[in-house]
Amino acid sequence: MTRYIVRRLLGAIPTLFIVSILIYAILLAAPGGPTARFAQNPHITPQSLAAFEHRWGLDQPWYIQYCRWVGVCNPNGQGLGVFVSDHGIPNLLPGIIGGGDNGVLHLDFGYSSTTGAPVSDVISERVPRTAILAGCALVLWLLLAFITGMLAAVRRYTKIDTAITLFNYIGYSFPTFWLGLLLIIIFVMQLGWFPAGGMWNVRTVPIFGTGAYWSYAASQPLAALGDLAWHLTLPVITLVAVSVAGDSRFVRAAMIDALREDYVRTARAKGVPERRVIYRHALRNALLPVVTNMGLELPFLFTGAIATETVFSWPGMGRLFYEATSNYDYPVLMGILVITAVLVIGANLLADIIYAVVDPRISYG
Amino acid sequence: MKQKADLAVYQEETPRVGPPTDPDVLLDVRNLQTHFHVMDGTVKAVDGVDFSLKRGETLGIVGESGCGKSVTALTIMQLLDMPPGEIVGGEIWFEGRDLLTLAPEQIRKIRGADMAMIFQEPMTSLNPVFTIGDQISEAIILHQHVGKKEAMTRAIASLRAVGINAPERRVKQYPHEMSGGIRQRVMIAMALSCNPQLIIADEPTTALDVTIQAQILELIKKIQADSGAALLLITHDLAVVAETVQNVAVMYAGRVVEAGPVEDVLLRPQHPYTLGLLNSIPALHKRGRKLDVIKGVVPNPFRMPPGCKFEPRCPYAWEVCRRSEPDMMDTPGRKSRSRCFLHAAEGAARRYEFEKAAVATVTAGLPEAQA
Repeated sequence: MTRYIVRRLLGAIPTLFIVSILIYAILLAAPGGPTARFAQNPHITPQSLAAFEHRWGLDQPWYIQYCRWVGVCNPNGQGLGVFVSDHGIPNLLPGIIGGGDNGVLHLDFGYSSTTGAPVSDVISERVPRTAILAGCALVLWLLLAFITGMLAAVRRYTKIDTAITLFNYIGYSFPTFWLGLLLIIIFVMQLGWFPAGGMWNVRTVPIFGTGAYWSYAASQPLAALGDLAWHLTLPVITLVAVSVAGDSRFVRAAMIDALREDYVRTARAKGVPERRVIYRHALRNALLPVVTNMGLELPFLFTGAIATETVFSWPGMGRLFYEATSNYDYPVLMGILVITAVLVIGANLLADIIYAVVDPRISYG
Repeated sequence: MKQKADLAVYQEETPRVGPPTDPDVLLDVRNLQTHFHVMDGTVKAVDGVDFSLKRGETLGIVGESGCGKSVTALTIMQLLDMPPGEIVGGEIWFEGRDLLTLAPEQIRKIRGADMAMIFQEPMTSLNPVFTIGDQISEAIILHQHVGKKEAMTRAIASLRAVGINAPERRVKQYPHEMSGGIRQRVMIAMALSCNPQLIIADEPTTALDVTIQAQILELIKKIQADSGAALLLITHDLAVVAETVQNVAVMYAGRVVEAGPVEDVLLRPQHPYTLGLLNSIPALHKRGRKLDVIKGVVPNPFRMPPGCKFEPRCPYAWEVCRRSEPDMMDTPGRKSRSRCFLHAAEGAARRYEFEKAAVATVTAGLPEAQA
């Protein structure tokens, strides 16, 4: 198993390399460019624009730009010396042994072109916030998907199944942003039960993630948790309502397939109680396709809650992506895309590992 | 007079009420009717099946695909999907109880413990995600209320009983690590594990290689003899029936058309359908000839013939066969019973031709049956 994981991780390197080129190429081909946000500004002269481009290396050929971003090239080097770090060894080696310190390879994603903060700081500040939202949604979503999917499968072609199916189709057809707005209109504007957005009450609670927040949370844990839950409710409902539908159908289909298998009949022929037939014999087999599907969905929950985070002003990764796009903040955009790629590859690996745990027929030699 | 005779027949055919009087009878199936409600209508897959099986006896049910033999087995085990299946009528007396009147929970306690089933497809009948030991001991834990360890010991013992080498190692293996023959042995061990009174084997050798088929058949015969359980063997293979069972019931279109001791049915067939089946067995002496087949096809389940169900394909049929359906009738000088008007008074004149053909078929050689 360990060998398999190491092999898969090594195999991820060429994938990430290709992904990084694609990300670079797509953003290069996209209209606008890093200087687009200055275009409407009358105070910016062509001279200062040129200085900006030189400062960020935008006057270099695209391959040098790419290599600097990745970390193969040293921005201080000239000619062939671009591949050599300031300490005289290949730039792509880790900084700690004298390699370069720039580029994605060295966990340097550059600086946000809007705030000037390091991209890694900008992103790492957002990750726990998205993780809280995504984590809550994921737990609820899996729970609901399994409960409704299995119920529909066991009671297939009955009224319960039809009701769940109908509910799923309605949920599935809601666009996230629209459902979010609808919830805001009902529960915020009309009823006033929940806040319209944000992650904490700005008047009573310090900024999430700061030292002040943690000392507040330590002194008043219930108030802090309650405030968080209060803000979480609507975005979690939005995320779950839309996502649960597809997976519920998926669980249902996998369960119906499993319940039709010969070994389920064998289990019944042995006199196994029906509950045990469903939860032990059928569910264990139905998990296989479901695990694969969820491995593919997982990363998009963490990075792709763009609409939900934007509608509810949730200060997470999705909203950061939206903001970076609107502000032509290329370094942040590229950082998020690279992290997304890493998450997708990681989640796939995780799904494959779970797969091997669930199914003895799969062995990773 | 006529009316009185009809009444007598009627009384004889009415299902007896109450358990079988003979205490040796383990399984008594009476007028069993299992229908499937599908989009196009109702399929009467099993339409009035009667047979009984004594303790320790072996009975084969034969018939071509779709004649209702597997559905009969699944109905006895109550493993049908309902809906679309529905047990419309009949009685299944097993050890003094009518299974059709029991609650699902009571049936569940009988399944696996008192009656066990061996299925056709060993490749798919075992759960791929559990070890063999887990799957065999599950039934033992359920029915015999013993601990995990003891159940595993018994599972190993039953694997040894079906001739599996190194059972201590096998119990830790998964189904995909075994061949089809071994898996079928595992299925048999599983069926045996709780010492059932009745073993139902539904085409147990059909999915196996010919060489393995003989081994598995021998094994089933051996464990049946050793355990003293009754065996209900469902198959389409007359050779398997000839080698394995004492009694045989031939099914056609959801009914038993001929039943009796295996040597009577196979060597002195009393129903044109049985004769047709025997005729269509390829044999050495038929080399170079076109294979005899039963002409026509199984009737469409939605448009069953009004009279005898076999009438459209029967070379001996006449008007009465189109009008009404025969009951099971005794046959002169034989222990077997046949659902054919040839054995009624009005068919006596035509019987000679049929018997001539039957004798010709059997004497021409049926090596499997005679062996």
